[in-house]
Amino acid sequence: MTRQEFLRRSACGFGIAALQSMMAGTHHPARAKRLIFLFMQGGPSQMDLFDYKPQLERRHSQPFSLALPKNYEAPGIRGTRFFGPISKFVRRGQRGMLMTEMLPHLGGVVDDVCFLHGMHADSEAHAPAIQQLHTGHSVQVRPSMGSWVLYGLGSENRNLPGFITICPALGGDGGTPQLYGSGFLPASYQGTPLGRSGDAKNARFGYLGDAVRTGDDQRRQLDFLAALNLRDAERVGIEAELDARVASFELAFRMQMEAPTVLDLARETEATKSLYGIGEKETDNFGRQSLMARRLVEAGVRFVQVTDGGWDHHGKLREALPVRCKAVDKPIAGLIADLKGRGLLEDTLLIWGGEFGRTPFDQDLSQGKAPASDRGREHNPRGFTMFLAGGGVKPGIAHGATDDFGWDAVQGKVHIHDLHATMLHLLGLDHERLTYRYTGRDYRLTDVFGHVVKEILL
Amino acid sequence: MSPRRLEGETIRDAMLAISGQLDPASGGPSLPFWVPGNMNLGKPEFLSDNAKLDPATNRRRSIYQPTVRKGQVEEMDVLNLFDFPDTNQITGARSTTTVPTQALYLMNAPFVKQQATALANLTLQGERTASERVRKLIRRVYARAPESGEVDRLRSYAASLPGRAEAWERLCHTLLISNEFLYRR
Repeated sequence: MTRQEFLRRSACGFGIAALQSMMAGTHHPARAKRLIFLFMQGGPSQMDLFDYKPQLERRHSQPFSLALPKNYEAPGIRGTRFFGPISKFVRRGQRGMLMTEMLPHLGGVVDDVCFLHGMHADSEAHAPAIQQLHTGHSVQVRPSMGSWVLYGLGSENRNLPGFITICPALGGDGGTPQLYGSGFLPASYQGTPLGRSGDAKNARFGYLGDAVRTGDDQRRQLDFLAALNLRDAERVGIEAELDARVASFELAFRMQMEAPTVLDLARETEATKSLYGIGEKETDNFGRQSLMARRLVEAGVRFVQVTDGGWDHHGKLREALPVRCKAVDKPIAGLIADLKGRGLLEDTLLIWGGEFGRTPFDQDLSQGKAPASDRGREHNPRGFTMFLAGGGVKPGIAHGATDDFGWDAVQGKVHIHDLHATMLHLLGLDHERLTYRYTGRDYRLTDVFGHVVKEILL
Repeated sequence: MSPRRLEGETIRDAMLAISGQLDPASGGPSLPFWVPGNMNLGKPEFLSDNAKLDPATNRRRSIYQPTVRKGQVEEMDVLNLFDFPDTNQITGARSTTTVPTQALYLMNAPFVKQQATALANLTLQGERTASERVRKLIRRVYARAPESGEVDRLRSYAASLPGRAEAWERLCHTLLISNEFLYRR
């Protein structure tokens, strides 16, 4: 039986998906069993954070002299100048990795991190770029990478959805439910949203009943429902689909019991909570999201996404970027350290990044009215930095490079398709064989592109 | 013929019809959204968060209700959960999935509970005995005569629950989420 036949016969939710994972298996031995994607919506500035450019620093505020591509247009770049890094770069970790001093906690775990400095993507606008990062395609509606992973591997926990997105961006530039949608894959592979952007404290699954208050009545109701459905099945003949519906209520009831426990951060020690910066004003929100992510992957959820918005710094970069850095620095470092301490990092792949990076030249959307210190940077998909950790990736290395100014990726280039291919490879899936037939042809997450970045594999 | 699950629109419409809440008006163009005065229509990404169905027409059939490209508004969440196609892409045939998030919706969504309450109120009007009420309920929900023993089984379930109104609401709720209601045969 092929994977697809199996699914057609049993399109009934994560219980079956878990079974499927045992039956279908991987294409090759997996290095990573689960994945956490830390999405920085808006486009973090690589040359201010991880991609040190001494020449850019030296030429700061001189007129930008590189040739822009033909027909390049962007607002607020008339008379644009080189824009040097806004913070000091320091050497961190055993190999003296150069990175911003704005991320001191991350610096403490940099020996576990693999930087990809040669990232590049296709679109300069948020919506298509975000869509490409999440689905592989910048224009058409396609399944989210989390849906592909779940389709390929199933879930390990039959009481929780296998693909969860914590506080997803639904508004803002490019935020949409399509980012966790299953596209043409069956809806059982769609991501389940947990809470709303910016409000991790109140993140819950939708339509969960109050198991404490109404659990007993609901249990009896479901027993009565099962009896009704059984009589009905006898009347019409046993049907797999009807059986699956009965099972889905049982799964839902168990999810209702288990989900609040998994999401209950009060069960963590004070030491763990403070490791993630929970309880501190600036880091509480992302800290909660990150700790929830660890609890979810620990419970067997296959793909967890955590989103932080506000990385789109067209102006006031000097003010705004340090705020974002502060918000995520301790939580991310805490997450990496915590995963490592629990022995989870070696088979959990962590991906950090935005939909693109930013330009080495400055941008002034005020048309000269604001002081020069208020400037920011324009979007830049030609070269930017993402980082990975754990899950079979070489730790403490930097792969790839941009030119002397951080404008174009020139070495060790990694396209979004290559990132997807590498991600699937680490999870034990061959991106060329993970296909789904739709409108008469086989589709892949990587379409007709993508190369596994072998240089970074352990 | 093998049973077919009702589509999201039909689940909503059938529940409204059975509970007596359906606005039977027909015809005309798609209905507009009810949009808060301070909403910026130039920022449509906020539409699905803020827009609501027009309260004057939100009980009309699903086919007349407006759709959003990114995902349906909260009041039409039944569509998001029950395989309503993405309106950005061509869909030759809808998939029919059976997942626990649908079960959670059926168990706990305010919309479903409201229909159960309205149906319970309808059931409690008129008929004098519990058996007569159950008979009326079966006819209304399943469009068939009760089978032997069925009235007693339903009646004793309701009698086993605390509170008269709550008991009938839970019975009505259970029938509305049963396979016989959710599947066409």
